[in-house]
Amino acid sequence: MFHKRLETLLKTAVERQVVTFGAAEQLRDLAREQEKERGALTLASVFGWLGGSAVVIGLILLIASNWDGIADGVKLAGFLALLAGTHGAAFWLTKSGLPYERTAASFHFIGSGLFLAGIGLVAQIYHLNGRPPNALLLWFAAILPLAILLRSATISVMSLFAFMIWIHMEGAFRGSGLYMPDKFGPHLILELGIGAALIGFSGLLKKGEPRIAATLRGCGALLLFYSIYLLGFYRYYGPSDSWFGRIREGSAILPMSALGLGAIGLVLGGKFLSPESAWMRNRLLLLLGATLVLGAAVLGVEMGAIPTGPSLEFLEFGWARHHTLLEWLLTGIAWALWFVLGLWCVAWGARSDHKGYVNLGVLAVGAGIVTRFFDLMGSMAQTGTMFLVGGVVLLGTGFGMERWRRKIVKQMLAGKAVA
Amino acid sequence: MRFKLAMAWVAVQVLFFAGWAATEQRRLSSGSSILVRTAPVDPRDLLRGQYLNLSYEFSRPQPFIDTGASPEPGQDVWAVLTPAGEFHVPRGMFSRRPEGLGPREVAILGRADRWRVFYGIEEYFVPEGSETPAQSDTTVRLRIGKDGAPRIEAVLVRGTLWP
Repeated sequence: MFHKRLETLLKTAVERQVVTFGAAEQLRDLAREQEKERGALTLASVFGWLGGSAVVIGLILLIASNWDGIADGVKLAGFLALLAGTHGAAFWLTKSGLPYERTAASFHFIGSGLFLAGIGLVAQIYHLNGRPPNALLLWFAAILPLAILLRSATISVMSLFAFMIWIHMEGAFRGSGLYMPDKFGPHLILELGIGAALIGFSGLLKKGEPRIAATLRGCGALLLFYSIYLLGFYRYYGPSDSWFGRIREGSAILPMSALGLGAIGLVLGGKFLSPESAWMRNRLLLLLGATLVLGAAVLGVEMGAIPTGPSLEFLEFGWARHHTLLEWLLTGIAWALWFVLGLWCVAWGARSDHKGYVNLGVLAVGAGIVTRFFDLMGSMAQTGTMFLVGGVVLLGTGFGMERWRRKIVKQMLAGKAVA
Repeated sequence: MRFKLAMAWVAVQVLFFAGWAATEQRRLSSGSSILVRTAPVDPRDLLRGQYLNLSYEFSRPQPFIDTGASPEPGQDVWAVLTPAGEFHVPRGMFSRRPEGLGPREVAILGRADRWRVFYGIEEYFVPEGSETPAQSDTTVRLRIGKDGAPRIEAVLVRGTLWP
């Protein structure tokens, strides 16, 4: 009610030139902010949230305990009402002009998740289990248009999640044209390629959809760090491993497409990344390019296209293990990429005044040191010594990294003060 | 415009579920209804709850009658079921939809895996806490669509609807 009155008043005030258009916009923003604060802090709203939550939880428990007694038709009708109602509430909140954009976005997010629940429900009622990856593809296809139409960062993340699960399930589904070797390496290459693609394509979205671009960039970085970290253990699950290395059937279409998508993303969107410094951007693109080359090399080894060289014997926890020369080489390149990527984050964060990147980079370097210590040294020492030295390394790395981080942040703040 | 399109898309989602459920309901009330023997075990699904994992006599891959080759993983398999008393039992497997079926015979479409043929009728969802019935007591009534796709109509224990 207040907002409608304010809107009418501001419209008249702008028409009569009592306030400028800009001032009217500022007043609207101020009113929204105050409404948010008031809405979250009043006693009535706190009781409202508590009461509402209790009712919802009670309703869920009531339905769950009587689930088997509810007729299938009622379950379906209830679900359809819930799906339509959740999105409907969000549309109503947006249309009414009330300052509850986040609540509306949450409703849309819940509604998008409900779609998957709906697939599960229909599959449960009619006992359908023919082709599980299709359920994920259907979910992805249903929520991606919503993410685009609503310009929603959260539904974009959910779409990406659906896509990632689908691509792994499809790749592991025997009989699919996209079926790939049922091994960890090719699956990991999917993350690596799509991570690079997300970072690249986020550059294209940066201007038009900054929030979605930032979210996709974050997801891309997460996928990339995850895949590079695990490639640091490649020698353990490469072809020389007797458990993972036996089967080599399936095609390389999916991982190759993921790597190709990563390359296209970097070519198209790379120039929009890190606009503060061309020098930093070029280094980042080089790094990401090297990461894709590493991924392609791992895929080549996994598909048997690249010979892995002589087998080398190592003693680990008293067991003789064999890793080939190329497996060691690829593992070592992944270690190097991990550290350089971490250092890039620190350098870029310090240069562009993004503290989050400094923290991420320092964390990556610290985690890399500790991981490599346990990976390389842990297996070569007696257990007691290993824990003793390992603990010291952990403490020393933590202390050193924190000092380094604080020093960089201090320099950033000093730079700001001078400016 | 975007707002209206988003509303329209949500309406499409709701209609999709209504249509899907209606199609499945129609499948269960048309086509041939046959009774087959089964062997149940009871695993769980995180999203959909407890279910019986059902295996059938025609789940075991056999060389194709029309080509003589064994089914490759991922290949389509047509299993012909022929009536034997009150049950339908497997007569053989074909790489293509067989022509000229005998009286009351049905052909169902499946997909070969390494050691099993899947028809999409391997899971039957049951109330949480349901006991797994004995293999010898359990039979399944299937409904076979015109396209050869089977659906579970009912699970019967000693001839009675279960659970």
